[in-house]
Amino acid sequence: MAIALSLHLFPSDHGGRTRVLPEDARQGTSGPSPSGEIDLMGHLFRRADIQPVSVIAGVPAYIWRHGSGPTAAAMVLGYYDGLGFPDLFPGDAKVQTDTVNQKIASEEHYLDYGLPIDSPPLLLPDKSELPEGDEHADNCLADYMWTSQSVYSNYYGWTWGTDVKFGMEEYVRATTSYAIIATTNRFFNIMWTAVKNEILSNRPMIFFVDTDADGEPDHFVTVIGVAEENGVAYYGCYNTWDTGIHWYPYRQNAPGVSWGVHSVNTVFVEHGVHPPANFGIQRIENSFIFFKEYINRLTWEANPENRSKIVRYRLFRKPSAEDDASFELLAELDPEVLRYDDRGLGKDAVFLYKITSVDESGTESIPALAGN
Amino acid sequence: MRKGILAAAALLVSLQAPAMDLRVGCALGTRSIDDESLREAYGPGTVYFPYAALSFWKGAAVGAGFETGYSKEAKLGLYKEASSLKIQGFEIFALYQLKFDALHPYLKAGYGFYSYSQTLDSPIAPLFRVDARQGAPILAGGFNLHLTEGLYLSGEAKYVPLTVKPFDEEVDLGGLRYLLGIGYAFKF
Repeated sequence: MAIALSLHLFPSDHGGRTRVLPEDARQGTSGPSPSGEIDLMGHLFRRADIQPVSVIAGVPAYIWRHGSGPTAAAMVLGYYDGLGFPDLFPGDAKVQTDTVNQKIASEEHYLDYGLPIDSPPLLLPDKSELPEGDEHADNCLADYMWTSQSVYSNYYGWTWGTDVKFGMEEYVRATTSYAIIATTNRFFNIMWTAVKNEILSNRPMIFFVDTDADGEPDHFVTVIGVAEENGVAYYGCYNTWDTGIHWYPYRQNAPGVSWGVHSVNTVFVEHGVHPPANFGIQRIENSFIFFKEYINRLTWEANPENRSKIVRYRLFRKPSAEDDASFELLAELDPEVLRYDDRGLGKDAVFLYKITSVDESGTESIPALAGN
Repeated sequence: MRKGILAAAALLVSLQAPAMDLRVGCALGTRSIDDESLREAYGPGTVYFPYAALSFWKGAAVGAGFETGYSKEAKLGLYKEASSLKIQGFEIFALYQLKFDALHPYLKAGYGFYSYSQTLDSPIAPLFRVDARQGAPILAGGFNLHLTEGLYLSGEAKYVPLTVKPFDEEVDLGGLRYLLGIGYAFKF
């Protein structure tokens, strides 16, 4: 089942985001178990016919917990958790422990938004409705995806397709120091070769698929494999209803197309590069008797959250009154340098500075700002 | 008109001829710096003052000289950057002296055209170039002690109030000079 609204406008959420969803936005509507007559098994390969099958090892298989969106996303993050990103989930995420469950959809989430359990056509209000403040603080993927929240027209377990990506990003940013790069691509905007490349690069994905072939997507799955047989491309996924890998042809969703793909979410988690800490500025006068130069002394500290090796800092400056396009590179500094004197300034010169960290892979952090 | 000027000059020469002399000498000494910051950084220095003066009526004379020699180095500012300061100037003056046997005390007043420059070994040096000129009055008093009719020793105290402001900061380059010298008076 799917519900499409012609224009989706929602009040700003308790995180401050204003919801303006695209006209073709769709919701994942699946429940804790498959509904109706769907092909739950998927394609079975005859071993001899299998062309190269690639399956990413180490992706945990989780069972549906209060929504397929947070469950599918959790499997991807659980995979990265075992790849050296242990802050994504507390404890071992290889299996779906209660701790992992709390990060997929916490008990508070269920109490505040899951209850009262509702289903179409009667949307029952939950604590996402006004007044603000009576709900718990976001603490799980389902919270960040606004899963089940009635204020966003979500019945129990439902999640908007576009919110899976944003929810993952928010969760990672809010709970870790890692950086996440996620994209959402409609089926017709991503080539099969690109999908294959993600799997061959050991990056599991989240597909938004149409399980019941009614032409509308309804379920999120975690894609961990690709295969080709007799010229047909297949994706292999954990479907949140069991822990097996299921294979389906890679086709666009349409009426009559079971497990057709509506959109593809790619995800990549990396150790974030953070800007230097405690970036500050001090105004100094330096007298040469006949004249004074004014100096903006900029200081910073190495950011202890950086796990990759910082190879340089980049310092920029612009007159405060001008727009950000006016920032010019002032200096590139070695990582052991933690001070820079911007010299020869006039008495009334007012500048805004920004500094970024660059790690050995060339990744540059967001800037830290300081102005006099 | 031209004939009139020539006639007046001839009359002046004929009337004053017995009292005229041309004094040429050189004085050496120290100068102080009024500005506290400048004094702390560069300190007092040595100056030389070659000059010539022509007496034209009784004890009155006019002359010109060039004060030079003050060139000092110091490390300035937060970064202790090397710098130098040089002050010199061309002076014109008038003096009146008395004669007590070999001792000829005098008072002198005039005007100096001074140049001052500061060099700086700093990346910001191109932004602040200190190389300017400024005039200032001169007041001095001293004596000439004649060893012979022509040869004399001299002593002088000279003060020049010179305040400059090449940028926002006003700096007092003025100071007192104590000079000793030697000279010769050519009489004609």
